[in-house]
Amino acid sequence: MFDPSWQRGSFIVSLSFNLTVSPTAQYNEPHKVAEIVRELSMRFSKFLFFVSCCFLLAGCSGQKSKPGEKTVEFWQFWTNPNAKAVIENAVAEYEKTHRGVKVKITDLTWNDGHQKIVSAFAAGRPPDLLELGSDWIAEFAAEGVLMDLSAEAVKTQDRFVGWSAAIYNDKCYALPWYLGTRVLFINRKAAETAGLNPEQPPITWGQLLNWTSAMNNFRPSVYGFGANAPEKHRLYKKFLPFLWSNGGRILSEDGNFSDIDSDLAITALEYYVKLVKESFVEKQSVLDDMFVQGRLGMVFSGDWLLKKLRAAHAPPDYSVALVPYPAPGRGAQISFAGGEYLAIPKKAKEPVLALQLARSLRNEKNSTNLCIATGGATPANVAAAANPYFSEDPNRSVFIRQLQSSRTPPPHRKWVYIEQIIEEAIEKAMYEKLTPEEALYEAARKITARLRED
Amino acid sequence: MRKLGWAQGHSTGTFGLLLPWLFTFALFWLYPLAHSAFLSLTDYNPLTGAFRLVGLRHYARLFSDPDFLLALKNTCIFVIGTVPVTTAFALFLALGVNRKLPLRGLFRAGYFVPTLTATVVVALLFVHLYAQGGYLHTLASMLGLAEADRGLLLSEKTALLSVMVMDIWVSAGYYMLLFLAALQQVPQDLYAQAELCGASAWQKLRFVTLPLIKQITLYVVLINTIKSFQIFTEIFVMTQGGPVGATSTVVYFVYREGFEKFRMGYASAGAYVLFFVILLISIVQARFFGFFRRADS
Repeated sequence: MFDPSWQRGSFIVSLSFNLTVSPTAQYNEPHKVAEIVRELSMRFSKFLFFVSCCFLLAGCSGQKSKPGEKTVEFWQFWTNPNAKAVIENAVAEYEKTHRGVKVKITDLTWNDGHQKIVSAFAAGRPPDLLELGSDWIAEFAAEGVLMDLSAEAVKTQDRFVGWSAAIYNDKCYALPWYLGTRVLFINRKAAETAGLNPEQPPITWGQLLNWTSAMNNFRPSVYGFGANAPEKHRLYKKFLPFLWSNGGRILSEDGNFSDIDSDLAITALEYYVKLVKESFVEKQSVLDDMFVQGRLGMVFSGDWLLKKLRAAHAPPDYSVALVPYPAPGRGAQISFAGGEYLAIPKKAKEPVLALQLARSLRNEKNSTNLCIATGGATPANVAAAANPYFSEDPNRSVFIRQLQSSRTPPPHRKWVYIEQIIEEAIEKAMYEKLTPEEALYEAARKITARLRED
Repeated sequence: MRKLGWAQGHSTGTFGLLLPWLFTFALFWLYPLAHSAFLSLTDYNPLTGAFRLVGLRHYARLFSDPDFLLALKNTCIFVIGTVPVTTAFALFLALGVNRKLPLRGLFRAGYFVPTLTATVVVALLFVHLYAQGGYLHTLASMLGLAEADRGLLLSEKTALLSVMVMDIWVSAGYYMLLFLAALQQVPQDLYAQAELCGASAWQKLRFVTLPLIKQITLYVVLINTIKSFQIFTEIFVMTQGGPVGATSTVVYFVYREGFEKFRMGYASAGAYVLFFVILLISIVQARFFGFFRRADS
């Protein structure tokens, strides 16, 4: 389809060429050749100048929608081809029911998506509908750039789960789309080889440590447990289940100070450091690959590992289990919950259409299809989660059960600072720069100081 | 012939040909540079656009921020560790492939391939090479060397060194080509004369080759220094500044402050401190190589 702005541009180019580059001098006098060359050079540079301006104008004109057509800009993170196909189908269905509306999908990656979103807000040109990670909502909501969706939340609260991460200062700023949690993956063959019964997975911290030690006897072909190396935005997700399961917390009830240095929290970190000492320590991607290769006995991971295992050529025989209790009859089995949410920026050009698109993406059919296509993830839509695909699969049903006792980090505008301080504390304890008690004491002071800053 | 009054010998034609580049230079380089300088004096929030002037407060704070000082220290170690080694290694490779060897074209291409590969790809490759249980680890255990309990990128002692080794391997090929071009400009009769005078290979290198490739050596050292001070992609992909800040660098610090904590003003101040450090070192290097000396003296 020929863009009219390019037509205009090429007309101006040809006109300017005819006006500026036509040779005028005669060539039968050699001493005039240098003058001719200079003249041509000047005219050529004027021609280049015109061409540059034409291209600039054409480039700045932008793509215009057809008259009467509205465009909804949707930024999302599902770039996997199977998932993207589901999104595109869902969008096509939406466009059929909304004549004159076009949805423009922009793909983001988790590596740089956050920066792109920040840049879009900074430029005053955010999209109409935006997919956000659960731990980003509070930081954007605190800056006042997201639309209040409390009315929508009230209408649909019984049909969806995972609302806690979307609530900031008693208002809802995003709609849960899908959720994820962390469970314990177990290599059944490695367990049997070590004389352990995979039908009775470890349910306490003590048992987890014993299993790790037993499987470590087969190093280096198999390591007992895979623990996360210091990795930004990942390490804290592996420690928080231990903290919460033991009754510890990050912030006080009123959110004015941190009590991450409580005895319960220190006990959790002491155990975590002990477990790490016995473990194979690497980045999450390496741990997942090692588990798929059958070289790890156990690892805490999320639903993306289910997909990797299904795609593997020769995956190990595995099962999944809930995260363990601190001790028999003590604590709880609380894991980390995260998820993806749909939010509408305040400066969205088509907020009503964006909300309708969000409803369409979150309905039972599209939620189920997306989870099936990705091979992982759990829908926030309650009806979709009840689908036999989830409830009758022995591994996915564990994810659903774990989600019921999972927690999201406290939605706080300074969460990015709090997260960094927690990760630094865990790192210092892991690398024995500080004892767990010293590390958490320092973290509590830093977090409290940060909370009190302007 | 019309001439511009302010630039003897330049015609409007030359200026016109330069115009597109000047325009993009002004728009994508000069303007961001000036805007960033302004931001460094403010508390700018990119999400809301709000800002207030704070003067030199960010600059003062930087020099008492342990994270920034650690990043600056690591960056300096990185530069001091990689620039001389990369330069020497590239020259060594160039001297090698400049000889009449069989398949020297293949060697030249082979040493250049890492430069052609995207940094992210190389970094991801090395993450797996350096991992515990990765190729290097397996090779070490096969050779009977002591097993490390952590991957090379997860140990404070080896993380920065591992990134430096990777950087040297990636960069040497590019500078090798520059040295190769310079070596091929050296008149061969000078070597013949040196041989007649009884010069050894080392004396030929020291008294013939090195002086004649001095300008390209300056260029290599300058460019490599500037690039090394700006190390970011490798850190972002491989270590994210860890473990325990052992590989944190200034540009990574700027990135975290600006794009994760939304403190654009503070991040801009950090970027400007780096700019002045690089500028100062570049001037010192240029003077050392006699770049500013007049050609007739």
